[in-house]
Amino acid sequence: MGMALLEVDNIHLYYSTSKGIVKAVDGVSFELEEGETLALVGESGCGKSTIAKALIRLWERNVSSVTGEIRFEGRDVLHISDEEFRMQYRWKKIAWVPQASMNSLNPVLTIGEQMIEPLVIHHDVDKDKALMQAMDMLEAVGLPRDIVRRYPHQLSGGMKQRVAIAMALILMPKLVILDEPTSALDVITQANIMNLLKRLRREFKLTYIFITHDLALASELADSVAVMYAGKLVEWGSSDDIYVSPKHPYTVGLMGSVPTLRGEKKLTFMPGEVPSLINPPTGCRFYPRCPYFASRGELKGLCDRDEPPYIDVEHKGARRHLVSCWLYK
Amino acid sequence: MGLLRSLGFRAINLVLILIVVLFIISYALSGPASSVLENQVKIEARAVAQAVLKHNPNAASQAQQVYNTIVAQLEKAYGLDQPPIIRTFYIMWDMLSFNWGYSFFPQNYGVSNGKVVNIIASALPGTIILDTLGILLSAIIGIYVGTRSALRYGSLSDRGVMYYAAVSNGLPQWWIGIVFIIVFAVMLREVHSPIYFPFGGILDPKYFGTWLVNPAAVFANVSAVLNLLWHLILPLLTVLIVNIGGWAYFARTVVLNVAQEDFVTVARAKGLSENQVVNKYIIRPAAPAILTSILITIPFVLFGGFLVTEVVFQWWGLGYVYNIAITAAGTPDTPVVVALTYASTLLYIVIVFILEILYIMLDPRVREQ
Amino acid sequence: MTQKEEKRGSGFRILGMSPSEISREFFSSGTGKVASALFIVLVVVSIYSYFALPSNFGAIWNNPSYWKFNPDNAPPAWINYFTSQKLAPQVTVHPLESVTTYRGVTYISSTFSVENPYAVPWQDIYLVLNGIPKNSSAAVQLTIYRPDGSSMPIGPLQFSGSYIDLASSSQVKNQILSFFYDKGESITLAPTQSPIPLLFQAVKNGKPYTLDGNYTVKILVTVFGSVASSSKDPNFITVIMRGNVYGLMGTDFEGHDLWEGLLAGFPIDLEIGIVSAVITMVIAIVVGIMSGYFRGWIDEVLTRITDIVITMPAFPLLIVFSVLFAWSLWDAILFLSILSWGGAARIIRSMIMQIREAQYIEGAKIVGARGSWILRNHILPQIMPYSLYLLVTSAPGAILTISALNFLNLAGSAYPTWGNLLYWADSTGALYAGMWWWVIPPGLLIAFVAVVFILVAIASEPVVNPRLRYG
Repeated sequence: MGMALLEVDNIHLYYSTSKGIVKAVDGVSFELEEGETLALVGESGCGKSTIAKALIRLWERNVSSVTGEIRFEGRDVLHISDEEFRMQYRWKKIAWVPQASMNSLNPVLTIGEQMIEPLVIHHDVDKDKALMQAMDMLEAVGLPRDIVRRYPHQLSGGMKQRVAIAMALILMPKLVILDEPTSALDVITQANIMNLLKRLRREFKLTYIFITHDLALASELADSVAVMYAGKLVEWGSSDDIYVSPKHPYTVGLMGSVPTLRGEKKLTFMPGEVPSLINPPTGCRFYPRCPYFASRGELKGLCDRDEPPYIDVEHKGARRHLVSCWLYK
Repeated sequence: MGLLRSLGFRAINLVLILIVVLFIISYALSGPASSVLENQVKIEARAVAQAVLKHNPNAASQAQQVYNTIVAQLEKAYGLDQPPIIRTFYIMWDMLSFNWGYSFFPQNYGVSNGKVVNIIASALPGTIILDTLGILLSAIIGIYVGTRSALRYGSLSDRGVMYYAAVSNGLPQWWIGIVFIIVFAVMLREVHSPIYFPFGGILDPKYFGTWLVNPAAVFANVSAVLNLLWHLILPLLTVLIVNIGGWAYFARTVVLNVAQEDFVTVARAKGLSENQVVNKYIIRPAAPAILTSILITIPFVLFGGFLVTEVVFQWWGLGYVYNIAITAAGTPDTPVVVALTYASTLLYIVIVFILEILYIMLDPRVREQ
Repeated sequence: MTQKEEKRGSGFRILGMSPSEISREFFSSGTGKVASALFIVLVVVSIYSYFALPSNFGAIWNNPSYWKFNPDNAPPAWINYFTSQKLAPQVTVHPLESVTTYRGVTYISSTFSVENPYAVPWQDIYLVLNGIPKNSSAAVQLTIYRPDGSSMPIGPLQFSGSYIDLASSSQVKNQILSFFYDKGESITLAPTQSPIPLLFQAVKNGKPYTLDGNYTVKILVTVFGSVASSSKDPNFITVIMRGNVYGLMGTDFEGHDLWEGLLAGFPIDLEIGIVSAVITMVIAIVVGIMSGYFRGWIDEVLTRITDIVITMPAFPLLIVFSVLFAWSLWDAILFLSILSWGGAARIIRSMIMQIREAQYIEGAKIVGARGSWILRNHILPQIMPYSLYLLVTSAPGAILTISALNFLNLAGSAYPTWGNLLYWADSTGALYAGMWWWVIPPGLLIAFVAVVFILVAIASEPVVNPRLRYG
């Protein structure tokens, strides 16, 4: 593998709410090589989307603090000026495909108008030429060229998601963040989009961060997997290692919930619920739901008191396999 | 093409609503309106009969006969011998063709021949000036303030705007007008301020006569226009103070909702400047929703507020004439009251239609339905 | 960062919250606290006015002779705290009396004293006599002992009817003028000018000025016959000194005590708000549910009707019908409510459309639940809170609209309304005379009641609006 394209170093992102400070992301580190696809996996509310927002520096208004470093091609992009980040990185180097919801496209502008904006802003291309490029890109994602003149409400959910992907690729960014790109789509469309993403990665040599709650779906695309729980990274390693021998009890739990057939399934079997991010449990945040903690007496007073360190366990894949769990100390 | 087609569709829809509204009003008023017409018929017939008598003082029975024939003929012509439902259509037709008859008390309006059409025509420019300026200015300022406020969500100025909007929604507009008169007309004069405002009216008496007959002539005269503006300031200020809050509140709510949408974040991620994001991705998509809210509230704004405000300022508009027609003579001047109801409904429908057109132009989703 | 709702037991729940949670959330906001405090004030004052005002207050208000002793257009008494020119307030005295009868003639004598520090003294004195039979004649004699040691005799005045108005008696005027003439001061009074202030003034070089100090007034009433005190009022003599300022809120052109008039408006406006909101909401919910739930042609028809109702210009129609049919306040409220449900019905309909698409409704249907069961158990609990919110939001509009009607002197009620007080202020020119005490309070109170409802709505919106809660 080549040089690290992205290094996320001890990121904390807190929100202030009327009920207290929400520690949405609390000390997360990982890195990504060029051409690699990282799957960021976790239940909703674990902070994985917040990391995506941090990477494009678009957090909610009520953010109270963002600390740590995000190095892109070796440069800390978290602490450069807003204007520089906007002009040099947004969409040009880091693009984002939002959740496949009804609302990722502006309902009152045509597809063409929305697609060419980055070209006009960043590359100063004239409108007609930009429109041609947009049509090429639509073709590349398997859509007819005349879609540029349509409005979002005239498209199906799958088409909209293809538009969102085409729009993300229009400036040929280094890194594409896919935030649950298929979660609202039906199974067949979902499969089509996944195949499209694979093809585009090959064609354009893209680097993906693929955010999902669905481990099975992630396995199709991911070179490496990072599992998040309650604002923390609990396990990170090559997908070979994670899928073959998951170490963290939470990852094991997630695996157990994955059915053999693809599809939506809620992670309801695990007892308990995601802890509050305002007053997270001390020590390991997973201990209240951890089957080992419940059954093994010697873990009492350890897991619920001290935060587990990252432990380098044996790995077969290209990445180190890190797990944050007292079981492996 | 799609735009034109959907515009036509909306127009037909609105005209249908207008006709239904007119029908309901006409049906409800067919009784009172018939008695108005009967009176009208009698007045006309009496005039003819008196002419006959004048010509030949001894032909009392002949005059009576003429009177009866004319009454019968006119009643037939006006459809007074028809059942109520048919009469309703007669009234609708009269109203749609601006055949509004004569005032019972023409001397109360100062409009020469007492024709209801002329009375209302004399009051229309005043209402249009105050309503158009009032709605447009308060909308522009209100939407601007509301949008800014939403973009500074939670700030001190945002909270200020919120509380102002809440209070202004509860203010009786006409009462604010009264307070303004006390402060800016009465008290400023009492303290011998060099600047003070008129107690009311639309123009000084020397211009008012022209205004009643030919408003266009007033606009040709610079000092008369300035005089009009001087009279306009207090009523307009009243309208603005009360209505800006409502618009700001709507705009703020809608913009807050839109600002949470994914496409706004996408726009920012694409590297658009904050200005572009606000204009193209927040205000533009929010506009149709703001308009919808306004469509629902505009009857309140227009009739609840503007109409009575005109009364307070004695602003020669439909509302003020309404009040004169109701109160000045002790008994209501029914022809004027009835016709004014139609006229104001019509005016209101026109405003709604303009807003509908705007709405269609702003929201592609509606265009194709 | 929404957390999953905890599944705590069963029990009554609206939008996943128990009633106590809803009220806690409502009161947790500053607006919620202020709104509920103001609403309680509104209700308490309304209840107070119910007990404070006589039950026939409407008739009393419209009876001008009831208010004849009050000064017209008088500002409130408390303005004396803010001005250097102190104005005498309205004073009513029930002086101590002694009654003696001698040879068929009854003598009622009494004395009272009063301080006069006022730059502008009382304008008139009324002697109201009770218990004197209609057929017997009486005479009244007064002596006023002034702070400068002089005493001024007034009377004897011929008495008939039920009271004597000293200012309107030419005999009184002549006696006062000659009192000063004897001291070498000659004063001329305009024909309509009251001589009564001179009782409390000294004159120098023809210019009267206030004589500060204690005045004692002796009254002797001679009745040629017997007297009988009534059970209602044991006093035979009541002295009313007509002031220049009056009570808490001043008076209007007929001497109405505006404080009482304003007080009477509280329950009326509260009722206007609540009654119209309830009627509006009942119609809106019924129409909304029917068109949202049944769809098909019912929905089509109801949606058209809703469109028309929204487009109907309620206010001009209200004016016309109020004039033509001489509507009362309650007729107007009913009519207004019938024309006001459109917006709310539209919102409720779209909410129901969304709810009925939900999977659990599909599920309930598959299991074989009946429509009414689904309505009661799934749909109503979800739309009720928001409907209540819409109910509150429709109240201020009704209050403002009805007040505007009252301001045009339409849709009257037996009691004076705030809008009606303002109508009289406007039509008697109080506006241009700058009578702020008559013009400002009614409008402020209308705004107050409307704003209270608005604040309640604002405070409850985040609690009941699903979009705001989960958005």
